[in-house]
Amino acid sequence: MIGLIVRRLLQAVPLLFAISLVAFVLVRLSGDPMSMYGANAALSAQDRARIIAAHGWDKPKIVQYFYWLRDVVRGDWGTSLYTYRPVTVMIWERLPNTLILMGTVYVIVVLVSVPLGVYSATHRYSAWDYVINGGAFFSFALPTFWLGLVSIMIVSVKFQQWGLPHLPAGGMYNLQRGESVGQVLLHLILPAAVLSIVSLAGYVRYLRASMLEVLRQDYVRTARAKGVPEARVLWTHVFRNALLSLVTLMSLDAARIFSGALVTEQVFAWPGMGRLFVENAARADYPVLMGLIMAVSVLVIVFNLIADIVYGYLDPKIRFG
Amino acid sequence: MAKAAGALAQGRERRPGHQRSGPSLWARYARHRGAVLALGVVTIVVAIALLTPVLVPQAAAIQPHPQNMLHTPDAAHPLGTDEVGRDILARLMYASRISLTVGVLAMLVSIGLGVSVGALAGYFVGWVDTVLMRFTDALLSIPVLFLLIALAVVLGPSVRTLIVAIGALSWMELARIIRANILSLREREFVEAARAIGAVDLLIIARHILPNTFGPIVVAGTLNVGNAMLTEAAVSYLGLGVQPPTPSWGNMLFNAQSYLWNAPWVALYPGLMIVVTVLAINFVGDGLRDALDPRRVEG
Amino acid sequence: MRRSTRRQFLKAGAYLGAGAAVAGRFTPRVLAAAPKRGGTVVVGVYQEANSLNWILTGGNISFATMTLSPMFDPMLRVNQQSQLEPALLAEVPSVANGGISKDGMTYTLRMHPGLKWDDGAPCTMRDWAFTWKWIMTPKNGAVITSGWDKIADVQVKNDTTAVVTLKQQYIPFVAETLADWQLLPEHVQSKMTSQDFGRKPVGNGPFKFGEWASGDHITMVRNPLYWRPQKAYLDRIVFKVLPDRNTVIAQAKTGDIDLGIDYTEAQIPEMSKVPNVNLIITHPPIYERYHFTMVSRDDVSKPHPILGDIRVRRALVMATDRPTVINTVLFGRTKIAKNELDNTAYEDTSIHPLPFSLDQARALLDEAGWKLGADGIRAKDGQRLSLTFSTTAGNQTRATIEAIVQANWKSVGVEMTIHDEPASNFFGSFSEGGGWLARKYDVVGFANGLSSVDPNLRPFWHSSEIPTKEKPNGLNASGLADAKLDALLDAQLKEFDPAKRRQLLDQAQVLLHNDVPMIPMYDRATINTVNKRVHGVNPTNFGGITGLMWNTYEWWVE
Repeated sequence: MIGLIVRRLLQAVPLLFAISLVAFVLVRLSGDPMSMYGANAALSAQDRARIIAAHGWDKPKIVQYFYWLRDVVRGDWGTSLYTYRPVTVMIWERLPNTLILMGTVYVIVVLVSVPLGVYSATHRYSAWDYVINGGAFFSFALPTFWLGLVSIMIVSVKFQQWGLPHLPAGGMYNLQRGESVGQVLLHLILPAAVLSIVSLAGYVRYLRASMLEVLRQDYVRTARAKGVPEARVLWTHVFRNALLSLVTLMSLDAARIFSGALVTEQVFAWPGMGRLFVENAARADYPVLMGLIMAVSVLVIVFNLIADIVYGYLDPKIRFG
Repeated sequence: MAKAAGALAQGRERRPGHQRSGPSLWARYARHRGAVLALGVVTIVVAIALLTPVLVPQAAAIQPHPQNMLHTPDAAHPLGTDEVGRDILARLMYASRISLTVGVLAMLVSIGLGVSVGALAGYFVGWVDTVLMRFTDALLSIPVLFLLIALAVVLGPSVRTLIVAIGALSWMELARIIRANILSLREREFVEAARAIGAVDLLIIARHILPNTFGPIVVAGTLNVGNAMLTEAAVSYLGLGVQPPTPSWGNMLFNAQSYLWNAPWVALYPGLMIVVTVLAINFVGDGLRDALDPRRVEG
Repeated sequence: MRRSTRRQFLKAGAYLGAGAAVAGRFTPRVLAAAPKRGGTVVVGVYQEANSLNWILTGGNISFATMTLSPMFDPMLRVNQQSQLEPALLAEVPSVANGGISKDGMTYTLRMHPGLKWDDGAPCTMRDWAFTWKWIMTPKNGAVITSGWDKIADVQVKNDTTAVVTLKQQYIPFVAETLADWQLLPEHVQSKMTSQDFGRKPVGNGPFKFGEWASGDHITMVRNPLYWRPQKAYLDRIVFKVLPDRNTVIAQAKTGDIDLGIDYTEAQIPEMSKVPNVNLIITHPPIYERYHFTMVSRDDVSKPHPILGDIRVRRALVMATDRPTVINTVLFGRTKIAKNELDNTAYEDTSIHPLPFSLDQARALLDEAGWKLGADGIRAKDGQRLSLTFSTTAGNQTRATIEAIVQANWKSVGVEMTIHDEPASNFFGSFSEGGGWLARKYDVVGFANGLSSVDPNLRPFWHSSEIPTKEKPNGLNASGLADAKLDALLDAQLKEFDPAKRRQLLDQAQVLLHNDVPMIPMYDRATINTVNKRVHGVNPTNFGGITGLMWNTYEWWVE
């Protein structure tokens, strides 16, 4: 186990370098920070030349990459080209908001998907199984941004027009009333609901499939044949085994709690990491984009490792060769 | 979250290599009533896509009539008109051609990449496996939407770019599934037998292993068609997808954004088309899975 | 608090089916008379200020300059007639009042006495001299130095008077360094970086800095030391950061925000139906244009193979149905553009845009030798009349209009292929292959306008501003090179007689019209909404969204 961890961590170092190089080149190719000044004629040609030279943007991209890498190795993630603030501060500011949203979604998804998945696996081909399955397929087919826009259109705008109680269209709280737990919860409902709906399907279907897989195993048949009560078969054998794979999926998904939801945060004005990414991609603010990409990459690697460890721990059959 | 879980679900539900017996493929498929209905829907959408040029003049979908903008549905325009006065029904019909093309071709690209990477990693293990799988991890760790935007910019926005970019960024989960399957297959008797008689590695992969992973490939393929169509919509929603005058469901949604409040139908129909089509395609994939894996039908 | 109670009451009325009657009795306009003190106005913006330090914001009409406006009074301000009027300065310097020397090299600036920063320290001409030095020190990171870089020396005579000597005659000096630029307080700024000051500024406007929650809101509170005796009526102004225009709409409707900033034309019909808000549309000197690439991409001495021919350019302008675009997509709220001086006192009203005429366009293309081919597209010597076009991706108005223009051109046998790019690429520099500046496309669409209230057309159209490998940073990417126009643009920068300068600019505008370097599409309107409970919002045309904020001390709420 220790050997696995050490080996994977050693592999992670060159991997992170490779990711950073590819990401840097892509980020720099897909946008020029000078674009943030647009066509503004107040910047004379001299002003433009001075700014370009000051940042070294006239140098080859690979040289710019090593400038960036040199600073990062020294522990300096740089400052935003637009807001002039340290990248680390900008990311730390957004992280809690993303954790509130994604953490809520994560909990909802697990709490709702387990009973649904278990029910649908144990009542296979029942009416409710069809409903649950159909619902899962439906949620697979929903474009997130469309669902977000339609829900805002109905639940916040139309409901208000019709004089019904309505939910806020976006943001984390109402400025007239100030930031409070109640306000944040109220503003959390719509985005969390939309994200939960599009995320639930995967978990439900995964859980159902894992349980069906276990139900087919010989030891379950044996247990049933021996006359072990069905409830006990389901609980001790089927559910616990299926739970193993659910835990794996959960640890794989955990990294996504930190990276946020690009589209949902954008649609609902939720000031999280995803929105930070979208905003800064639009102005080619590469120090911020690189900070976000590297932070998420590290988390993905760490949680992949945790998933492997958890799986290996829970299921002794797995050997990492 | 949903996508990863979905693919994992696909990966876990199947055991490849079983000899099929009993009822025909169609008979097994037909037991899944939802899948039959879905196949009907897919057939209709494909038929519309194929027949559209015969049924509706292309000008109806492309030629703007600004004076006629944002008309509510009536006899002349059953689904109303869009922001420059084009018939929404005609545009939806022409858009189905683009959306399906992007979905199917991107799926083929992703299958090609996913099968190659997964098969190589799974068969050769060792450092080939490590490099390929860590590369797969790396791609999974950068937000897909960002990679798509970068590719769209570097390659220039076009239908071809979309197909290549979406295909090139949606093979990772399939590669993992194929690799896992092959890891178990390569220890099986028939592969060892092939090796014993001196067959070349690539030949073994092509002739013995890949046919045995046919099921997962077909299922992942159908899912990828749906996902590619959703991705096309998301990229076009950012204005970087299919460029005018060609309509796609995604760019129709993008154009409708400004009119969400005073002409909601403009945004409603393309969204519904995406939902219905992707839903139907995924159901077909589900039916195919059942049909290709006879054990599942025993219950 | 009082406000929400009233709204709940109204809502209760609506439930009873008596909403209209109840609301009618409480209709504020009948009662509205004298301004009241107190209250908060929430301004909804879909772009957060990047810094509250003017020198870092990088633009004169931007969300950042709008946001910092209530906290800083400028030396001179632009009024509703787009004229300069005194603010912190006691008078607008001119040759007539002795503020500008006869040779145009020396400026005498006189400030109101007794001005204070909002921390109580005196605000004097020394701060202005400091601002100049601070901007011109590269490590302080000032984005824009135009105007300031023309100063040779500043002699501060006393707290209220300074004499400025320029390196060269430069008429835009007043507009570029005095109008709308904010002063930096020497006693604060000199002790910290520009960046730190921009997060927690000390100002001299009707409001002073309160707090800034990144990504969410910026609050400012009434400044009791404001120099205008009446002070601000409001207690607070809050800028609430929203992700996009759709959210701005939604929150303006629900009343969560009082001012909604910068809508698109497509949103006009919807917003004009909302009972609790008024639309405020202003007309800054910004216009949407389709630039022709007139020279070959790599060699500016060679004409563009298709668009080098003025007949083709004229034909394309006449084939573009601007009247319909304006009357449909833009809901008739603007007019066909001419050039950068639209909506200013210098607009040459004798110039008439080329008419929309498909027949004349076809005749011009025939004359230029482009013959209709079997595929419906014209060709000459084996080359098809096919042009690439790009604009910023993600802008629905532009996407809508490009589709109309594409169809317009098709009907005269010209193919337009669209390749929209994200703004982060489209506006990239020449060296990085930006869509516009590097002449990557045959035609590009975007908006631009005057950078200060001075009518200086030179940066846009002088041939020395053509971006090339050797000189990559000019803005005249079309490659318009007209020696007569160059001479006029140079001469107007040295002509201190307003009437004579106007003549030079009129001639320049006629040449610009005749050279057809672009299709001036339409003048961009600035569209905002204000909740009916807010009074005194009375924006200038010139300032665009920043122009909303010029009189925040006069705003009040019911």
